[in-house]
Amino acid sequence: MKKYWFFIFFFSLQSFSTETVFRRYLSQQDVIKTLLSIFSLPYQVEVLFKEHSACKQIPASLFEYPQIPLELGFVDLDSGDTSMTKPDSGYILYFEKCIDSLYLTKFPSPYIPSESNSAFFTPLTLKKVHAQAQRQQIQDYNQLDFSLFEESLKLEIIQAVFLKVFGDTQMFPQELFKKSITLLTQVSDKNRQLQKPIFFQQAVLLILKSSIISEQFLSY
Amino acid sequence: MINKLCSIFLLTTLLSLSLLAQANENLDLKYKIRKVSLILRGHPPSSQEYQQVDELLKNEHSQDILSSKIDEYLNTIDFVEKYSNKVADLFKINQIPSLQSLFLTDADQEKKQSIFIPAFHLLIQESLKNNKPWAYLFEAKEYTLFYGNPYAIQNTENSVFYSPLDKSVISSEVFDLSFFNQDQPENYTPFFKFKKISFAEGDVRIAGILTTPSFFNRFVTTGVNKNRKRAAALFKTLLCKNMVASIPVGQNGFDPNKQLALIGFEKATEEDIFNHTKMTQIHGQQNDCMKCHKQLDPTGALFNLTPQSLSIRPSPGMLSYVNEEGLWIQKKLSGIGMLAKALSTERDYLACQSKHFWTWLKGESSLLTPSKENELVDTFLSVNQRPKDFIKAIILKKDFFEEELISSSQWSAINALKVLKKCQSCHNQDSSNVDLSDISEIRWYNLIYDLDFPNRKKWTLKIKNQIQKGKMPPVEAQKDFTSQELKYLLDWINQGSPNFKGEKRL
Repeated sequence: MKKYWFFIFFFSLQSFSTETVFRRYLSQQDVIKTLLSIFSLPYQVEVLFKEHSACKQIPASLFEYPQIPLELGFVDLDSGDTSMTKPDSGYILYFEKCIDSLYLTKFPSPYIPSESNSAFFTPLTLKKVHAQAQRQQIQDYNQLDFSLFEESLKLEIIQAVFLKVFGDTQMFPQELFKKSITLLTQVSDKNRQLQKPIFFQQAVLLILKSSIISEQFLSY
Repeated sequence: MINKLCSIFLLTTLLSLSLLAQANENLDLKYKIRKVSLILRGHPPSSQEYQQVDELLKNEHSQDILSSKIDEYLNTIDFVEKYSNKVADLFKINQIPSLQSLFLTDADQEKKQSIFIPAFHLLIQESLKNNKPWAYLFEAKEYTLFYGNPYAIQNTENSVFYSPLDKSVISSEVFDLSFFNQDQPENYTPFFKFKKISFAEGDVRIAGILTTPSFFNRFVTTGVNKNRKRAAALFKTLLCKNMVASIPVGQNGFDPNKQLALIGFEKATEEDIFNHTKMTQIHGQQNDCMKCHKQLDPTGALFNLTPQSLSIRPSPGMLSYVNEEGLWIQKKLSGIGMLAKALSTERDYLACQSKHFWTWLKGESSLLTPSKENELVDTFLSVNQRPKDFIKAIILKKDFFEEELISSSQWSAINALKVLKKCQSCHNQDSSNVDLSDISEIRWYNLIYDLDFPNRKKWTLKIKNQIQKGKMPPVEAQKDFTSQELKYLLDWINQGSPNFKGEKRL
């Protein structure tokens, strides 16, 4: 799956190769804050601050550990908060791992939505997913076969994730939105050929990553 | 009938055009708010905020909404935290733990006991809260000291540091947390204790964040460095002047100092120590080395008598440096507390401090031309150096949100500039080192800006030649350059040495 992120991200960067629009990218500390706000998690989430966590934060005493930003792919960091100017593969990989880890915190398995963990979807959308769960006779929502969802519900879920990431429908990068749908269809088709279902969890994670790990979201 | 249809068509077109314009205005404002939010708070606006913007736009102008959003963000705890850490970054002093941790509930007693916020950060936050002029950071005579949990083991950092001046404290007051004017969470009872101590306005021994344990502990003085580290930190942060140690290396690139540092004194041979002493003597005699020492030593002297805590007596010294115009500035002072006042009118200081804000808000690679720099200094002065006003003024400048289209030629010039700055630490007009004299006349700044710089082609080709032959940087300076940086410099030369506008003339 990893190759997709590199492809998507660098494809979007390509258009800037001859004449660069000077952009800044989220710094390491801002990444943590931003991801936590997307996942509606409190700032002091224990798992994030553990040294071996995927979302390892650069310690406050950064100057004693100058190698850490480099390990995480934040190449241009002189200090704990300097924005980087050019993302590299380490930077992208950091997001991949961190999003996986946050997803598991937010949507543990078995995942049965409740008021506290349904921050991504409206009650109406969840009602529809619930109906799907009854139809498929599966209790853990993460294990639902996403390809069996109605097309309108699929689109609703993709929109809900994008809304959570970009905060406003007007702020959706339409091209990326379409690309994410195509990507999901491709993965779904591939899985069908392999006679494997694409689970609800995989689908949501895929959309989450394609929206977050993008030029449009990470730069400002 | 046709007239009617035309009118309807015209009205519909106008209506859709106005709706489109409205939609564009909404979107434009939202993009701006997102950017400001990321810069000042470190995270994008929430969905609710975007909805609020839509509502506000029905009655207010977008510029007014943006202005009030900036005010709102400048008063958030996220901004306080970011600002505090930004100042700490300038001095390469450790950042603070999240301020949110101050609001831990009663269930987190154990975590609370490990929290400590240094006087350095508390002073920055206090000055920001009251929007005090930037210079206050280096002039303040009041400190808020953090005493944590009154029942836990006390951190003695503050009491040891300020104790020699106990008799000079003119007021002292203990209080609970009410510092950030933030709504306290439920299940919260005041836990942390703070103490405010004040010294007399004219106390020359006190100099805001420069006389805090954080600064002293970060730049430790020893019998060898004699406060030069502290002076170098001041030059770097207050005047944007890098002082790089220049230790001459013997023939064949052999560096006895480095050798000695690697093997350690206990294993050093007699010859090693002989070489070390010899090289140190050379260092002390060379004009090239003395160029820095003439600046560092008198400024460092202001910190004499203060190895780990403050001294009862102010130490005499001097603000001594060569400014950007090449003038030798010398101002006799007594006590660190006089330093900020001496600096406050210096053009280099004002330009340097304005640049810190610019870099923060616009990014490190953003282009700051000399005219823009002058404009920035004027703005800094016009708002009386008040940080919140200055930040707002920069953001509200009409070109702040304009995308900077940068060609590959311009990129190469920006990258080359960073590398040439490093070269300049040895290759400069003050250099008397014979090996450097041939290219000491190059001013990195002019070499990139000025296409008519005398012998420009000759100099750039010479630089290229020296790098390719491995002669530059010399062995002892190689640790300061990455291979990528050297590649940047070669790329710039290979592209025809463009200036920041991307223009070439070779």
